[in-house]
Amino acid sequence: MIHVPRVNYSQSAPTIHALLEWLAYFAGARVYFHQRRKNPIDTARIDQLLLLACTLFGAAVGALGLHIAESWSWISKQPISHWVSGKSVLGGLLGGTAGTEMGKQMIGWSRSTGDAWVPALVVGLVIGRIGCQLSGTWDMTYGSPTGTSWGWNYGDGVPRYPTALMELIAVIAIWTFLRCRQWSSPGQMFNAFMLAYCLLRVLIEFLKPPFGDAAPAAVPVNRFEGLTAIQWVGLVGAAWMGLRMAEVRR
Amino acid sequence: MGNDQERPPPEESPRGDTQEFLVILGKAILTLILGLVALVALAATLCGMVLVVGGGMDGATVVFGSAILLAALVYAIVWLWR
Repeated sequence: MIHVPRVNYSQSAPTIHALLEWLAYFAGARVYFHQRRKNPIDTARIDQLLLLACTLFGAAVGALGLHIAESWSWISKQPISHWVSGKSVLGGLLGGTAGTEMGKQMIGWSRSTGDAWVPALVVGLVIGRIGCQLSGTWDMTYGSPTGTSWGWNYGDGVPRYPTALMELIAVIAIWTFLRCRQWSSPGQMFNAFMLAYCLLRVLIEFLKPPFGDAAPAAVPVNRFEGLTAIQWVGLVGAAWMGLRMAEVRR
Repeated sequence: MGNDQERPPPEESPRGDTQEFLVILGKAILTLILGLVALVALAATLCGMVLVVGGGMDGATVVFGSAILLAALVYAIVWLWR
């Protein structure tokens, strides 16, 4: 069983998670703006700002919305601080994409803006998931108990699937594969990345509670028709990205 | 006949200028509202995270913390944008 020594999960978890989350935002944003300078959106500054605001707004709504939906039966009875205390990366990415599309409609922009986001998302996800992996059971990204020798002790003494670490490795693998390909149309790399990430999340959620035992005093995750809210949103997101890819090919 | 005569350039109408100004103003207001809502949501999430886990923070600390985080975020975005 893998155990990280000298980490007192209960005390350090929020700090480690918050620090790496902020680092993920800043590093991701830095990479994005670096990419964007290579391929600028040549429109008025006010339109660029509106587009950015739409993206951020969509990401915030998606991230909070999916966090609330994931544990709806429990969270709906809690004070507002619990409603805003978490986020879902998948919700943020899909909400941000929807917000960007809405913004593009407003400013009359038809060219794809997604490809510049891919390296930024990869950097952000990798840093963010390191934070999740080191946060114990507190941030709800831990895996179900496993009998394999590489189970991770998140602080509750039970060997569990290191799901954040698995996601991190899978994201790097997806990025490596996408980078090696030649993309015929702008935006296709973003669509392919999002499609792969949505499917990855649908699959990886099967290795987490409620599909296995949760940690003591954990927030319960709801299942709707057998799947979690994240899995349903992942399936819808994968279908949406598939349609976008098909549209560009036509 | 007559087609080769150059037409004088159309005069800029004040009505067109006003319309353009209103469009830009509308976009600026929308940008401010959407951007602020998103930033407040992000700052509140971080504060809520600490509040829920830490358990001991009062309302004033959360509001104060949110304001600092929001200011840091705005500063970071301006810095990144340049």
